Amino acid sequence: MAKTELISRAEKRKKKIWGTVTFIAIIVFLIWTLTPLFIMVVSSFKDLREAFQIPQLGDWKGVVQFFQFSPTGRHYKELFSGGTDFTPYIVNSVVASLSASIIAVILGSLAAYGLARGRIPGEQHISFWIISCRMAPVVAVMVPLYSIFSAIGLLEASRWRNLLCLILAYTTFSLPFAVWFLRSFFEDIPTELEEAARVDGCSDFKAFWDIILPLAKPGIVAAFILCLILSWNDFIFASIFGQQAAKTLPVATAELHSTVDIQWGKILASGTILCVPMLTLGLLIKKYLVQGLTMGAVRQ
Amino acid sequence: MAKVTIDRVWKRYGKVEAVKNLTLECMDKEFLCLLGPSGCGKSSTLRMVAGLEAISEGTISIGDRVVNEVEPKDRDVAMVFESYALYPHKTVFENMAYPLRLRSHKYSSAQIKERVKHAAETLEIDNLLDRMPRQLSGGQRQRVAIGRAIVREPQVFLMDEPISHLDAKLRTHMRGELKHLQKVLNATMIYVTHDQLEAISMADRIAIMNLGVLQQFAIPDEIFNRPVNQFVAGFVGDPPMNFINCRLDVDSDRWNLVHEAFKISIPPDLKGKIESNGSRFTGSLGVILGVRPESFTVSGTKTSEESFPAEVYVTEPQGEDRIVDVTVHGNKVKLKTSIDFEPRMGDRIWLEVTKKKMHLFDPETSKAFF
Repeated sequence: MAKTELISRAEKRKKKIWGTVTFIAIIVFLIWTLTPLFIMVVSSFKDLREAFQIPQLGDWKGVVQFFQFSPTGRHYKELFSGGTDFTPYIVNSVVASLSASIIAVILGSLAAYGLARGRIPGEQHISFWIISCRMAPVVAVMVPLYSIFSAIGLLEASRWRNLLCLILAYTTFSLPFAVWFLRSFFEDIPTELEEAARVDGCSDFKAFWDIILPLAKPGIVAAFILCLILSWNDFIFASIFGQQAAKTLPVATAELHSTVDIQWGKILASGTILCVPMLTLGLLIKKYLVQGLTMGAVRQ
Repeated sequence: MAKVTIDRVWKRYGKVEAVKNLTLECMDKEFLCLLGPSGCGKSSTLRMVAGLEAISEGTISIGDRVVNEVEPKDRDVAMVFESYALYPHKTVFENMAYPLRLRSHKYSSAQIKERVKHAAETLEIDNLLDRMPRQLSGGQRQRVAIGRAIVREPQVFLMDEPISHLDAKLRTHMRGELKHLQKVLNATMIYVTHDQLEAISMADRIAIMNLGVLQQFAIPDEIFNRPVNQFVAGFVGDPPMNFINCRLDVDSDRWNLVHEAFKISIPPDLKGKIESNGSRFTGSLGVILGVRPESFTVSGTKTSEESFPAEVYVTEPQGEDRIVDVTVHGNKVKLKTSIDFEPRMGDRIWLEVTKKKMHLFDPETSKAFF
């Protein structure tokens, strides 16, 4: 009896220690990841003089100074007036990443559903081949893609042609991810549901549309957001295929840093515009990823 | 409603033959049970009727129409699945209304509402129409699944072990409910089950299958009392039939079943039945005696020349009956007796076989001699 009590007390202590260690690790991780973002967002609303009042190491009063500033939207205004106008870059980013993500999710859903139902010979090999496309480093496909796009005239200096290049390049990388990600969602949906729908009077596509898609919605939304983040954050494709005509937000932001001038105010504002939408979406995805799929339809 | 004809149907999954040359007919308004153990091909057969599995060979007709190439949606059948397969994102009302909504050219909104309400009232789930499937108990989900099938009055109802996952009490209740429903709706129903009690108590006719082959297709009484082979005899009945290896000694007109523990003379009427079946015996040959647990007369003393001793192994009281396991010269035999018969473990008791209820099987082919 006493021995059992002793063991359970030791276990409790062990649990408590692990809990504390985990908590501290999470806090350190959060500070490590969120502080730069926080400094960027806050500084984007500061005058440059205030933004560069960086406290010395160990100067805790300086930390208070960090929060003492008169907020200004000057840098944001500058992004859209004067010599620079970021509107087309934002539009390019939105168009390229949204289009690629929509295409990837539509095609990905259909492919993933087909693979999940496993009526295709060699389906395992096809699945592996699809995901192996995603494993290739971006630079490995850059030259062949460049050559293909060049051959079909998509690299000529035209905004829409270059945007199409970006959409195709992003889709190339998002689609395998969407297929791989969605396949497991479809696999979790019991086949009896679509069989019931087919007996009830649905065609195969109607059963997919009416019954399977709504159940896979959390997965589809999650896949869409992840594809969107991948495309939105891309720099390398955009810098090569987007060129000057279809410059995206990350490329435009990078160009604010030149050999003669570093426009910190605009960089901070543009960085904030780049990060905030994706951060919001990141928070949204959490809800969908944890959402159950079958919701008690089939006897567990 | 319509009859269903399954004509020389085969189902192959690669090299595996799940259904072999199956021929049977479910008459209009008939309650047909496909009975058999797991993997016997009963579910594959049902799924072929539904159109969810392709037919490898043979034809299936619903009414006068061959449906081999007809899509499930166009077969006018309704199916209740073992897992219920309710649409989790739709309410109970929408689940039941869905087959009607897919035929919106046929039913107006008011008609859909009326039909769902009527079906829900029949199944006593009219108070659950606004709930989601996850909010229902197993029994309620099963009723909704049946409701979804009955709203549109299909030609054939297909049920794939619909009550096998309910608890014993609810299952007994639902057996009666389903049988009543089938009679009220005048429905043609094909019902798959592995539970022989379900089949015996509900079906108009039972098709009993094993390893993809139809063993016997008959009314429950015939399946129970005149099994065509040892498999059917052993599968139907609880506890199952006892099988004892014996010899049949044929000496001119006197036929005797001989075992180390007993010698039973075959009465002339039984002999006549065996002979009329085409079997001709001479000398001595091995046979398998089949006796149901309830077909023994049990007593504490030797009552006749043909009664034989057995030693009580264990007893299992079951309310009104008692199952008594005994050993007869090394063979384990189950008896079903009145609860008032209370032997103790190790007791010697005397058994006599009710001759008109005994069965004889060929040990080589497992077929019944009569």
